[in-house]
Amino acid sequence: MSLFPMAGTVIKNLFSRPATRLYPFVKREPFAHTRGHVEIDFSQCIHCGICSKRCPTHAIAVDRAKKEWKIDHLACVICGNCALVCPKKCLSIKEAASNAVTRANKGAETETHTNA
Amino acid sequence: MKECTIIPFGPQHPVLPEPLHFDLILKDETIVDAVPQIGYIHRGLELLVEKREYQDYVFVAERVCGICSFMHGMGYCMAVEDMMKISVPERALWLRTFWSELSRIHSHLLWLGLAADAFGFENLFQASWRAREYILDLIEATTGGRVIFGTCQVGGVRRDVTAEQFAQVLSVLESLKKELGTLSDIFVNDASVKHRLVGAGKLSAKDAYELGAVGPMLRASGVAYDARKRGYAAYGELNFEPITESAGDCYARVLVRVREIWQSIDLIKQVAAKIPAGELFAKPEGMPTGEAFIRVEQPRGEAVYYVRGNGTKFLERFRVRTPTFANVVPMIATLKGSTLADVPNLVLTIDPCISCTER
Amino acid sequence: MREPIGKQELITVEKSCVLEEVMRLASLGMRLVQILAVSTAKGTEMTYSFGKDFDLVNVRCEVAAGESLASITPVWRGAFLYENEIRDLFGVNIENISVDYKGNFYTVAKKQPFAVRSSEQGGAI
Repeated sequence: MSLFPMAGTVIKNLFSRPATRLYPFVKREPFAHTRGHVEIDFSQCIHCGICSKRCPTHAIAVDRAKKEWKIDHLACVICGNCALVCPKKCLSIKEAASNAVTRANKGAETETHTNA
Repeated sequence: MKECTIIPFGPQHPVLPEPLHFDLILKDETIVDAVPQIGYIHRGLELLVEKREYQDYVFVAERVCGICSFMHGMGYCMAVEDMMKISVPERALWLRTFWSELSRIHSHLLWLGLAADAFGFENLFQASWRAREYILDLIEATTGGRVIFGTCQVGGVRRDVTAEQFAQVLSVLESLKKELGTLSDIFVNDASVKHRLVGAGKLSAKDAYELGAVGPMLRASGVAYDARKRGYAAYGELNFEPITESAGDCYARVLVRVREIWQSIDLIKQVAAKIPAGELFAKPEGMPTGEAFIRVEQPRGEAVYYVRGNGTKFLERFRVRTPTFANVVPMIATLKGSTLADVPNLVLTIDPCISCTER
Repeated sequence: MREPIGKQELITVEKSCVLEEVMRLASLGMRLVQILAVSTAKGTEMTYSFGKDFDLVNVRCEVAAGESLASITPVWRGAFLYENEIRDLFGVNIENISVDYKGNFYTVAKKQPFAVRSSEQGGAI
């Protein structure tokens, strides 16, 4: 039975650099396939609405008549189902996390594309 | 005649990872009874299965819980595959085993940290979670998400793990051995840890079996039942035995979970060595009809998944009996007769995952 | 690859025979694995699952709406939590539960939310 097995860890912690990053000066790079946010190549979109029907959180809204594609980034859980079911493969998941929404830029979470 | 005091424990409490309420009935410092009350994180996810197509529901099933997330998705997929008689390709089964074991390591490290926090050892709590960060980075590198893996789908898996990624996983686990060794040494040998945990919350093998305990709660009392030995996914091809202890107290459960971390690292090495090449996905044919029961060994114990289909693309019923729900009964049994100071230890010893319990 | 081991069996009984069947399985050394309820058109269908090693035996009975069902806690002390939850969520009237929380166990805003299928409940999603 050891009496001070933690002592070694404590002394090492006192004299070594912190394990945490000095954010925001040092940012963490995401991995190659991290699910960060959903992006659309709108020129390929045919407004079929399949992504909207299959989204588990109803974050995507497609209006066929107005040729509009809209996503609420805060409702999106980045599951990737839309990218999987899109027939034209115009949706993709990118690594960077979506931008923060503050009181100053309220409404920035909704991304709208129209062919009007 | 002595009067009883009623002390409410939770739903907000520093040691609880999720809200859970107990009314503890005490005489002086000894607990006479505990009345549970749950419902704080009830999201009605089981009812949502009627509104989401069965192939999309896997994303909901994964989000039942953040810690046991992968195995919930996998259990749902396995139940639907069993019902629809889909034959999953071999490589997909091996990959599911790989991610399950990675999930088990991160869950046990999380629990070790919380258990240390429960008896006041904050430094050890942070040290466990720091080791866990390396595992979460591995999970993000191979699946795309730190806690929600998003890799299971009905019929197989969504993404592959390359040979380079396997090599990276094994090298990270190798370099983590020293840190994990120090943590194991502290949890197993430190005098203050033993002082708090030895003898607390004793559960005999007979009680554990009759009250329906599962997982480390059952194995620490001496009953060698591990649902992985059934051989689902690729477990039938792997070499391992259930880890048991006989004392049945909180210390024995810590020992079981610490040893399971080492066992999982060994299992990952076996998977990396034996995984065959092949397809990742078999497209489901037809509509789900019938029903199926599946049992999976989550980090917290045996979980039962039930699905029922009626021929449409929306399932009729999905039920998860999570291990925490089964373990609450033996926890209440161990609470009776213990002291108030031991309550955080005893509540944490079942590894409570209340979001799983309430769905 | 080998199939997982363990057989599964389904026994359908009348609700009055459930206790007898449960006692028979307990004498064989089986343990209670879970209790499941499914809302059907006629009422609720209860399935009790018992396991020994890797085998699973499911005992099923149908409880019509408004009828009551006897608790299995005289045989399995650990069943009280499942039965309280089913009573709170599905509204099945289970009688003589050994530890009865009288509806205060699973506190949610809408009483007995699972008693009616979600398709019939209406609602946002």
